[in-house]
Amino acid sequence: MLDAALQGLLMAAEPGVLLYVAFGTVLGLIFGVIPGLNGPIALALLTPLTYKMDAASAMAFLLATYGAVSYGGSVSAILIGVPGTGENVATCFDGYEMTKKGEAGRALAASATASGLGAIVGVVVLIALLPVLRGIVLSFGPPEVLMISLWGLTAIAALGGSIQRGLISGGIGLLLATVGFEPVSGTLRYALGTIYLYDGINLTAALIGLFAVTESISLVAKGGTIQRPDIRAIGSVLEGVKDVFRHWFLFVRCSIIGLIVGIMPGVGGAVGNIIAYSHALQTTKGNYGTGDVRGVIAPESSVNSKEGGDLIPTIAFGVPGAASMAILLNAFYLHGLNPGKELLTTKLSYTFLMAFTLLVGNILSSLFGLSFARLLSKIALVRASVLAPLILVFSFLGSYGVNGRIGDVAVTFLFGLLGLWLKKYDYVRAAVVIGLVLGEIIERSYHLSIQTFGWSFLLRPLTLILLAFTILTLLYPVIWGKEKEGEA
Amino acid sequence: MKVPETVYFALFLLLVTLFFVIGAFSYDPVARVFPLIIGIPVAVFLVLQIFTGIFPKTFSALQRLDTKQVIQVDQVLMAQAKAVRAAGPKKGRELDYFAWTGVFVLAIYLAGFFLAIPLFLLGLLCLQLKEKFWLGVVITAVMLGVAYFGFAVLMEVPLFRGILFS
Repeated sequence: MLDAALQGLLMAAEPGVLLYVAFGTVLGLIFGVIPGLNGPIALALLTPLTYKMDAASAMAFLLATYGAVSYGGSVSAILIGVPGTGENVATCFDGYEMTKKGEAGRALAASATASGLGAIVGVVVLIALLPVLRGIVLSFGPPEVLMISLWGLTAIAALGGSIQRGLISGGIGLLLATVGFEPVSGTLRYALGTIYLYDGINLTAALIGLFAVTESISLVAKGGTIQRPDIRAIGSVLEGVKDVFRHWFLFVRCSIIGLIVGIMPGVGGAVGNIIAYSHALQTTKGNYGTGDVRGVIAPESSVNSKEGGDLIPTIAFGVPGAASMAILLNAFYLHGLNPGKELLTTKLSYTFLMAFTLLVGNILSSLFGLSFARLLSKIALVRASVLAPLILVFSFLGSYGVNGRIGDVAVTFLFGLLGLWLKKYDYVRAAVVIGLVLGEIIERSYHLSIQTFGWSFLLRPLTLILLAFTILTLLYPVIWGKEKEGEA
Repeated sequence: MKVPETVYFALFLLLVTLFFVIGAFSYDPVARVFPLIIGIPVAVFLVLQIFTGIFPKTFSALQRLDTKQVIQVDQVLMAQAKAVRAAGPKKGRELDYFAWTGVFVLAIYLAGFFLAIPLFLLGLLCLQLKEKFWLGVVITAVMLGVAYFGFAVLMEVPLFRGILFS
């Protein structure tokens, strides 16, 4: 374990990798600060760029980008009152009020400190849990892999708002994943007579379509310009840093909230920051909504600790808890990194590398964000009509760039259309993505479980526990709903 | 009786699901089992979605049960959050832009990236979005630079030249 940690640290400290971390951080800040862009779009668009990189550089680049996005989002939330990403909505409530009162510097510093320290909490817990997770994962056979994948998918579907639509979304993702050669018998399915579909639907192309194309079309259709802010005074930066230490207990509590939100599949940072804010509101007395610094500390500490939590199920079980993690999981596969046993044993050093780069990326983004806040706030004012066509062109270049196949461009286009409809009619895009990514693993694990154990695989202790979790996840809203009606 | 738009989308998804379910019967037992296990329940849920959309009163209990929230979030705060993110897209405009994207993809297929990019960017920016021409030219030049240096040179991806020129 220590050897792997040292190896991971050495890989992360390589100048080339550090350069990618810095580059990823800058890109992540830019993606975060622009309202309408977010982590999944950044990861979907940038994954094709990593194709020629080695695995260490690619992971460092993507994780640094991912880590920086949420802090970038807080900069625009604080300075212009428009959250860069859904994860920073609650930061607006008090952050922007502080800017109006001439305390932008204090709010930005509090946000940077809470984000940076929150990331440390997330990464420390991730590293601390590795030995435990390794023990669990090593006891996993195909039945457990099948059940935990199903549970992850069910949780995403059930917690998304409408259980039915969530399950339909996940099911559609799984069905689309069956295109191409069947993993056990090798039968060719649903190829429609085209050689292109023999390998199945290209995941990277589909993910770019579902997120980058869909969101850039929404962005340009939404249009509008953001009013240029009048930031005259920024106040004391040091005061903002001190504020986090002054309210350290609130910071710790909200970091833990973020961590739990990250580990739980389907909850997502957009809800997580509201939960943290409302926790601050309920447990402390203050002038929330009028520029109270605790209204910045609470959501921001939860947002970045969530990232360490996000990585836990993705790395340990190969079960992504959110769309961004599903895209990252695709990048793992693209670079030959298999989550689960491999990332916790033979390639454990890569897990440490990811933890370290996420940490460094977060700290760098806080420092960069604080230093160049004014400049970043100007980037946030770039008009959607200018930005969206650029993203569209980049999306198609990226989707073609991975394999050099024109069919991938068509897949990106079709998935862009599907994404628009899914978004419009409140289906869960994250569940479609996770179904697509996990489809092959679930199908293979199902067949291996049946071949090895027959239907008695369902009676294995761990499988039974996971099955119970899955059923509970599905039934919980129904039971809970009845209780609510009773109360009413 | 007005059928809500969501029903049409559910119908479309049902057709896609049925394609997978019916198609599965033409494969050997090992290859057919997974699409059937997944496809049949999905089809049932979609039928329920369609009926709930067409007969909302009859299926109101099901709808209420379906949309119960598991994670309790302060509703006042959620409403505030929604207001912050507000300003929905104007009706129909998304499809306009999507049509432009379709033309772009077709242009890539016919004439390749290096011709499709300027066509798409200048067309969308100057004709549809009414941006200044010089801005369109600058953005196009930047994007062509990204395509050439970023993809063709650095990533060594020979960009598609289109079926008309290859």
